[in-house]
Amino acid sequence: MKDFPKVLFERLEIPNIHKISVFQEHGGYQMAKRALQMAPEEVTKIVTDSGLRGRGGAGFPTGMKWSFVPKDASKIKYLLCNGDESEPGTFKDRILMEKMPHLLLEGMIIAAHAIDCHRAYIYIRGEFTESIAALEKAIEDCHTENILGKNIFGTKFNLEIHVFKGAGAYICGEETGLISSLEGTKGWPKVKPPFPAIAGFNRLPSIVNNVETLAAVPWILKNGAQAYRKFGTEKSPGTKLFCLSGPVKNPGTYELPCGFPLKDLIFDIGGGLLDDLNLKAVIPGGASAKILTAEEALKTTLCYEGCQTMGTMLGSGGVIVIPHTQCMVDLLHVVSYFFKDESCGQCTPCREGTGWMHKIVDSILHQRGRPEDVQLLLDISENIQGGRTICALADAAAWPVESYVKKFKQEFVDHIEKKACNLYKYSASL
Amino acid sequence: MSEKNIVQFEVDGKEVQAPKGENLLKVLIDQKFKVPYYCYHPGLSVAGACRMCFVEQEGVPRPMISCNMQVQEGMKIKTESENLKNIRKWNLAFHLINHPLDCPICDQAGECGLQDFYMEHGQYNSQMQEQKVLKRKVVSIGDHVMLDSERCILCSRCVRFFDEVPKTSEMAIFNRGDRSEIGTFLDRPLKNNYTLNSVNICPVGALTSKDFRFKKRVWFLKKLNSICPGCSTGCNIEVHEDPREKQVFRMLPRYNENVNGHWMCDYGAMRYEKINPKNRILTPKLKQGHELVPTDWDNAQKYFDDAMEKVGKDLYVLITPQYTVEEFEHIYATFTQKGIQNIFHTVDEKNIKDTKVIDELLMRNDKNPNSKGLLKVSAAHGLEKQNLAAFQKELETQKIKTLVVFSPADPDSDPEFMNSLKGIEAVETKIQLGTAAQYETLDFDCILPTLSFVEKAGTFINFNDVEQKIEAGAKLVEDAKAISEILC
Amino acid sequence: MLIPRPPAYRKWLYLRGFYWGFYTTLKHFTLNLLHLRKIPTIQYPEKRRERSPRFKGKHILTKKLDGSIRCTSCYLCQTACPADCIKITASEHEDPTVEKFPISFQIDLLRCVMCGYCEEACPVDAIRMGQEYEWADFSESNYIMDIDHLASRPSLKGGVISKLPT
Repeated sequence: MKDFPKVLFERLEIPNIHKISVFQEHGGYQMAKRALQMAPEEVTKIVTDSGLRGRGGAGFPTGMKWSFVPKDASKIKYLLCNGDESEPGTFKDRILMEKMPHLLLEGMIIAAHAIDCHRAYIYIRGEFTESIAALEKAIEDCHTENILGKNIFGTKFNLEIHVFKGAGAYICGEETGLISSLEGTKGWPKVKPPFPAIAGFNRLPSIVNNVETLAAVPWILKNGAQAYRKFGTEKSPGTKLFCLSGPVKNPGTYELPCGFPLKDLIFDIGGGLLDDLNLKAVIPGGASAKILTAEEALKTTLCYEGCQTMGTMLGSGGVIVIPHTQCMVDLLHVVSYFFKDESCGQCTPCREGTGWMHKIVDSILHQRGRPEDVQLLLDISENIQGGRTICALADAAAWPVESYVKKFKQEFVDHIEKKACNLYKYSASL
Repeated sequence: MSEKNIVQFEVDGKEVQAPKGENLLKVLIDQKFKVPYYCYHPGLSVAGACRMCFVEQEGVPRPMISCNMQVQEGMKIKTESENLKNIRKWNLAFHLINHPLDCPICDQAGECGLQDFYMEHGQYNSQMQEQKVLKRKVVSIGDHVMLDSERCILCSRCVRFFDEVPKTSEMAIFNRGDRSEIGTFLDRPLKNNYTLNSVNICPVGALTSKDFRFKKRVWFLKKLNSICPGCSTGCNIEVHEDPREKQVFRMLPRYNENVNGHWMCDYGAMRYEKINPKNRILTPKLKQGHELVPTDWDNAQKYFDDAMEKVGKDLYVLITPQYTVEEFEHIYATFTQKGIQNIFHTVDEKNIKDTKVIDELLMRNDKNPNSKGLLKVSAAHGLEKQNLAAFQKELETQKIKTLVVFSPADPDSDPEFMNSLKGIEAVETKIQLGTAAQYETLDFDCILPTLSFVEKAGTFINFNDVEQKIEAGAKLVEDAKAISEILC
Repeated sequence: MLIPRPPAYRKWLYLRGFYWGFYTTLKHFTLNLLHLRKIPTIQYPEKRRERSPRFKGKHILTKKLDGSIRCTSCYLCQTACPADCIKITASEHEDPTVEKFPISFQIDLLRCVMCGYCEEACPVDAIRMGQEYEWADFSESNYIMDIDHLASRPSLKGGVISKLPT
């Protein structure tokens, strides 16, 4: 395996890096210290120049997001770290939080300084008990070392970081849903405008950043924006974590520069598919991304614009490899159930549409499908996406349905007309 | 409002003016543009959940929900286009796929948002072939409200209402996705004085009024604008009556920004019972021996006129503040013209000064709709000093020979009314004009039925000196007569 | 003004019509006497004419399989009725899946114009126009049919079951 530039995983291999002493030995918190000497605008400018984009899925430029926060010093501002990693096929933030909690905290201190915030929250889904324990320990250690709390590093800057355990709803990974949950109400996304940067948590300016985004900030500050731009492509600079799953020989989380070919990730780094299996399709960015057929996947590069040209999205970087034995109707049944179950139920198109789509796929799978169901699935998916709902969950639910049905239409038609699955012989239940 | 705060913009090619920062959907509704909506209510915060009110703005690639937009100078809005039609059609289809076909037994039928917009924007053949999501039906939540979760479209108006208006936060949406259900925690009954508003704002039949339930289909009802007679707040209401059946079925709040906003209390909403024939004096009655015997108007009027003539200037009159200003004026003018000065009123000065609300929002201590009106008219005749205490003093001296009492239309307004007439037995001739059957007691020699507030036009003056008109509807009691007809 | 009097002979022309009519009557009389079987007159009430299934006669309230009234008391028949002859009183049913049912359902036959709008308006096949048309009676009050009469009068032999399920 070739050596790739490391930004986030630079110090991952160091034993006991989760301990504050080890982290500090290896240059930890130096950047936070340096950032506190700089003016907040300077920090924001470096991050803007680096072209760092939000790693949660949407890919919004981070520096620009920070600059939206009102400069009014009298207002309380919040930094919210989104550790509610719940996209199926994604397991990158978890590694960062468990193995390198201090890297995240350092990133948060820098970000908090940049937006002049003195209270930050890390929202973690409740299932990540190890991440929660690691972060809580790390925060405690920081308090004893005067890295968090009042007058950090002897400067006038105060910062409290709290860990908030979510109850594990997918929708709480959406920024306004996360804010609702953090406020103690039901995790319902809020109507925008106003955007969180203007009126978020407790109706005060709030910035929501992904764990991976914040963890990249110390490196950028240390090596400069231009160094970060050396990796990746023009529009997607830097490195990104990719979570390779599915029947490949070496599944796992890999840090790769953006613009890396998907083909190489699967066959080179991932070691190719397990024996006797052929590549059928790839989901490049978590379950909500549109699926790519094998031919498309081989042409795709893993960057925001590269995925966009293929009609899909980089999303959270959860690359799921689908082998040729997988029945797409069965897969869609699982995926559509996930979105039906996780829809918060606030907006009608999403609440009813996801349930309806799942019921139709269920009918097709259980040989009750009607010929018009294929078109109906496409119609429904078309009519719940594209800004029809408050948040993007409806789009996330519509894209898989739309792409699976469009790209593997024959399988759906066969299920309906022949009432049989060609791939039934591979079914695990046999 | 100054000129600066008015913005001008264009909707479907029409110039529209509105105050700056006003909610776009509110403007569109006020200007009668056909934009469907369910979750938006002008008295509540914006939820943006129903996704029906999409409009297109020039220069913005995607349609946006108008309930979350503010009017801006020069914006160009389109409410009609093929794309919008398609969006509305599909959103309505999503609303309806799990909605039961309950219309024949649903009380909301006829004033249902789903029915209304379905006729305009609907997709006439449902493509839903799968099993609908089944939820709970006929769940009692509170004394006034019945919940049917299946019919609910989760617009969250009721939830926001209890959060924002009475601030009791009693309702919530439980569960998520298409299993979401509205309800109260552990089905606890709603316990505040504003529960019926949630029924009124429900755009579908999910929340229905227990009281109105199955009594009448709404299309038989005739509406008339009126003022709630329940207390001195003077909430603007709409009275719904069926003239053929001679019954009032319900009272709903009517918007008035200065008095009650969009709401009214449950106590007020239930006042309609008091004016239905069941609780009314139906015919004139005269005392014969030891009972009151129904008689016809000729007899009763003759008895009344004879009594007036016989007593001359020594007549005593007691008026309760439950009649209109016009009636007070007529009573005072007629009697004072004859030289009668012993006209007393029962307005409680203490109540008048106490204008604080006694519940969450609107209800006031003074349960009379027109105390201020009575005070004003009596003051105009220089008789404002003659209040109940003065009357009771006169009653004790036992010099009253003939007494005319205008009894309260609503017995709940003054539960102590009959007790305050202690010593009335000593009066020789006691005549009552009123509506409430509760006062058909042997304390009176003659009882004459008058009109209730829905049968006559007039004016009520509320605690804040706001004069408000009431409209006259159909006569509910055949034999009731206006005071101006009896006294002349 | 002068109205010209018709010529006198025209007065006598009506006799032509009189004899023509008399001839027709006699002709049918003799023909019917000769062919008694083909006679169009029905020997009512021993014999009754068969009516079309669309005939609009006395109303019937249909029943569910369990014998209860099909009507959900939606008042649509009452709304559609041009003669205002239907009066329904609804009530709450103990079974939440039924929810609403009529405790009283009255049709005033003397007001009814037999238009059949009630049958058209009914969304649940609860009211039908039956085949009966002989309802002569001595008292006006007998023309107000109550729910029992409408649903299970003896002539219905236990009632009519609605086609719709549940």
